[in-house]
Amino acid sequence: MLKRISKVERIGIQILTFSSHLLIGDSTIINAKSDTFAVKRDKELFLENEGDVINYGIFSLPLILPPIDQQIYYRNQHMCGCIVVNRINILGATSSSIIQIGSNKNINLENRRKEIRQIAEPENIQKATNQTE
Amino acid sequence: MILEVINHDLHVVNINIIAIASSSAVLVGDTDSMQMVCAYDSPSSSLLIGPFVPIATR
Repeated sequence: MLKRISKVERIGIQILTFSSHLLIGDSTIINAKSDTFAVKRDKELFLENEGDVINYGIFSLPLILPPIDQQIYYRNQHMCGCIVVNRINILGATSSSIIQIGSNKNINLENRRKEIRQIAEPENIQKATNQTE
Repeated sequence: MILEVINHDLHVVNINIIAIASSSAVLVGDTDSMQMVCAYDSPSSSLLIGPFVPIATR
């Protein structure tokens, strides 16, 4: 398939984290995968022996993507050979997300996230139990 | 399925985005296929109340 030319005058990005990409140019296949194990506590505490064995179901759960085998008779006509964007402003990109200026063939992105909140402060326990009730 | 697309002149002046997260994409260009998966697990059982014990240790 004939692709168009992308033209961006100015791009500004503040943060790129956790297997996110900024790609300037053409590409064929992008496969990005990110697993996140997030623990939030009501006190600043870091235990360094944590997270060695993460056997939560979410990380082994098969995420079945539908196969791309459907025959689509696709025809396109480009009246103008380029896509023009004057300005792009992005604050942040995280967790296997893609910013691309250019053309592509296949994009495969996967993100799994397990979030845990741990509460120990008495006043916060009181708040949490009131909320769950 | 027969799909016929005619792309005319495309000119965007300004794009402002706060955040792109959890396997999403911003693409200035053309692509054939995109497959994105995101699994997010935050059930009520993941709220732990009690003293701080290390999680997922060896």
